[in-house]
Amino acid sequence: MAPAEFDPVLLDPTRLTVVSLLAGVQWAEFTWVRETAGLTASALSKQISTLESHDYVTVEKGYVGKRPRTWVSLSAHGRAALEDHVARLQRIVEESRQTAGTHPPAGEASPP
Amino acid sequence: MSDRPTPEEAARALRDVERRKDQTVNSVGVALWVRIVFGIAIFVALAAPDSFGSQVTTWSAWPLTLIAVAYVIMLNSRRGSAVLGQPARLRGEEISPRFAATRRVVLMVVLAVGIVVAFIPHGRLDVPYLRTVIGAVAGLALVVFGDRYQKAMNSFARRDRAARTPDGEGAGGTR
Repeated sequence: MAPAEFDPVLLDPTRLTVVSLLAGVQWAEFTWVRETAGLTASALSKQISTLESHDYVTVEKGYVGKRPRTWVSLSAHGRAALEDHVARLQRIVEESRQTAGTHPPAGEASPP
Repeated sequence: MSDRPTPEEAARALRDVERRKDQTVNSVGVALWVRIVFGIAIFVALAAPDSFGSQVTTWSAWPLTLIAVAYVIMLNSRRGSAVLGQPARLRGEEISPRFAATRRVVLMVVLAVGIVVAFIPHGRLDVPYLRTVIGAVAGLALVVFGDRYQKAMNSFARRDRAARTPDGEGAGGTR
């Protein structure tokens, strides 16, 4: 995979945050994601809609007693996309480290 | 962030991914009322023979068993979890196999010690209301420290898992 081919959906930091939170759970209530991510309900709703339209998350609505609830979970496709995205990010960091190792910063004396 | 993140942006994004995963593990605990129910059930199971005689030992553990079974069943459904005050359910894959094995061994050892203490004659230990005291301490400890213990265990399990990812530093390993 070419490092340049980044998933535009996950390049957004807010969406990456939401997907990272959902990566550790089987499911989560919308309210929990909102509070944990520190987002407003409308902002999270917008991001969830985008992720859902790309099949990254699945949304289930229901009731507990008389209270409506929304549960969100990361789909297999979303999990694979996150793993791929993380691998690409790691590659960039690794390449940067290697470049820094072969080309020491200017002004730094090279060993004899 | 542009189409291709800079190394600084990539490193920041990786740190954020890990931080959010840790946050997930640390924010899933046990609701206070659930801890209170379990604390009372443990107290009743242990203290009942002191108050009502040893003949009640045959049924005194049943309420605790039934509550534990109901808890596990409810925890595995979205609505049940919501009723129990757990808005998110951690993935089993986030817990390292080594941690799960260690936890199993510790449970087995505790059970074995319990059986040995219960069935091997150990002289006359006539401490009045000993079971009541043990039940009260165990129940109270569960209510007070249960949530912190659960979160510490989650965190430990997650850290152990992250440390064992092929990437070493735990920067990756989304599984």
